[in-house]
Amino acid sequence: MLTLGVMTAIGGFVDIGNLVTSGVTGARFDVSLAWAVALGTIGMVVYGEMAGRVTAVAQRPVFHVVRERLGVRFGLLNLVAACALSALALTAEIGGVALSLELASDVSYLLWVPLVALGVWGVTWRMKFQYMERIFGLMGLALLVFVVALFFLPTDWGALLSSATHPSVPASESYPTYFFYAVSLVGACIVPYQVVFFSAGGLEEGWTVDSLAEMRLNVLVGFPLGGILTLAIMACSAVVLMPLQVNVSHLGEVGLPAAVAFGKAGLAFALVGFFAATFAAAAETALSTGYSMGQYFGWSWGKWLRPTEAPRFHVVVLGTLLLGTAFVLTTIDPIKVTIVSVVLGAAAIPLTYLPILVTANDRDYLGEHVNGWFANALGVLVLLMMLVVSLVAVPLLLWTKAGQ
Amino acid sequence: MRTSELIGCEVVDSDGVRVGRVHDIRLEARPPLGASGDPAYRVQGLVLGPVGLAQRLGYGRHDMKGPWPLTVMLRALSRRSYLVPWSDVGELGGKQLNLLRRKTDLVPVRDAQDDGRDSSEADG
Amino acid sequence: MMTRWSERVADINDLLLDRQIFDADGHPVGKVDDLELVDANDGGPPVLSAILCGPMAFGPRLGGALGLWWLSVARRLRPDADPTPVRIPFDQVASVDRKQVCLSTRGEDEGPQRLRRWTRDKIVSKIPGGQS
Repeated sequence: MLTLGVMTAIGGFVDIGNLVTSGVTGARFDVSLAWAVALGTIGMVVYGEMAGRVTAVAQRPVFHVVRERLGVRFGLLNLVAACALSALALTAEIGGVALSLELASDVSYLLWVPLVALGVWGVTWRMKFQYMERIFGLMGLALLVFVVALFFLPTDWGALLSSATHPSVPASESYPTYFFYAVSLVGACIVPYQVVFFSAGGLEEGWTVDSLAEMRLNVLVGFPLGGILTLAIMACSAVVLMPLQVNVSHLGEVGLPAAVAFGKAGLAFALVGFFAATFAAAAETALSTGYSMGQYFGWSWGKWLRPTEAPRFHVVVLGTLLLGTAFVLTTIDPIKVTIVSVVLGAAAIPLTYLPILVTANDRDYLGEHVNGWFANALGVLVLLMMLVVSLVAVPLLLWTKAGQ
Repeated sequence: MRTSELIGCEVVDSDGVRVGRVHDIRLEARPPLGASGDPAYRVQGLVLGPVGLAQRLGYGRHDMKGPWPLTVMLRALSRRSYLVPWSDVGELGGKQLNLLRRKTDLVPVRDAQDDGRDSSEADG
Repeated sequence: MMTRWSERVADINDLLLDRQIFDADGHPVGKVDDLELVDANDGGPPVLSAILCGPMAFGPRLGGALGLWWLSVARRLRPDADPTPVRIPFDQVASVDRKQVCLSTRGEDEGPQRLRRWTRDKIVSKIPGGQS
């Protein structure tokens, strides 16, 4: 029942973007950027609940709403941006899965890539949606090792708490870099493909007006879980890697604290978690391009339909997978792709959010379930936050050269 | 003709003053034409003006509840749009539509609201 | 067959354009890409006569250079076919409301299904597991 929320959290929220940015920021900024994770989580909860409500009550998924509200031209712009970003994210995720396997096996990640692509395709082509949710949701919970590790590491809880509640820029870092990483963290939490997946997933699960409680449970359990996991990884990084002044540039370094706390077992859990999160994210990003295009153009879409019943949808998913795989095989650094995709995603977020916010106020669509004053107040505050993030994202990316 | 040929057209009034662009087409149910018994939906008028954003998002006509800052901003924008009855629409030349009225005589779309949104079904 | 409309007076952007079209079995057919108006020959305003659907309707609706390009690509992919868009007259429409359009017909007769059939026959069925 909760599996959609947990899987969206594991594959959407906690994907290679979160893993890397939380590891990097923990090592460089202690936990003084925890507020960015909190903001991102709140934003995602508000956004996810509204999108989920529109899906369950009006039976309209995200890209139906985008095209209906923004029209053909802006809708198409939105679609192109969403698909391009998903493809970029997919590249990063495939890289992430391959890197996790490299860490476990000492075989170069590039050799794993074709196998990973095949695996992801197999899951998106034939595996039932519910199985996919359950398997990866459960496996991803292995990331809880980071939460547990905090209790076994020499964690100074007082210092952590004070750093989180009194954020400050460390002497060795500059303000632009600090805010660049703040933007990256928010962008890593609120990714467009995640909402598309959550909403489409809701229809895959057959949500109706009666499913509102279930939908909200998914949102309130899934996304905060993602936030907690992100914070745990950040805190572990701060406790273990910051004193050693490790410059996190590899996925292995993010997993190091689990190894320090629990040895090989800890590392194993971390790797299983990394694998599940990145694999789920690869499936989600690939599926979300299919969902977005299918919903924009009016095709049949959905994993509940066999390939012959939704041919264009499945071909788009396959095509995106091939594109992402090819891109990874150019040996581009998956970590760099991750950072860029997260920041560009942050810049594009208001595009898909605004139509949802507007539709959530439309009585013809939602009847009595339209936004109340509280939902609207939150909705507008989140919109403002997204607009600010969107405006500064690209300038900061260029100014700090991606956080150098 | 297709509705896409009308929407987006530049509109000019009877004095040649630019009024804006066509944003939307208002239809209304009228008595059936043929033997089918289905009411004919005919063009009642055109919604046009300088900025179409509000119409596009749905703030022009329906009672959009909110959210608050957007309703204020977008309703203000939609106030600058007009509803021109079909009888006042003249020639369509290329991408330009000529009206048979002056801009100052046009009725703003919000004043022209009629509550056609009843829940009764429009069958004859 | 009477079409059920949710409103007597409506703006086409609010009610019809860009809405999802479902057939009688509930399968997606396409989007309302454009609408056709015809002269009634009684001196009155034009009458809404059909829904237009598919790339031939989408291209002109997109407008500008991009729309022209879209149309030319669509034409080149089917050079022998009729360049007019798929037309769904309102006697095939069961209901219209702000969220969707439902047809009273079913099946793969409609034009937008051509790309779907082609994709299924030429690509999907060639891939393992795609035949069922």
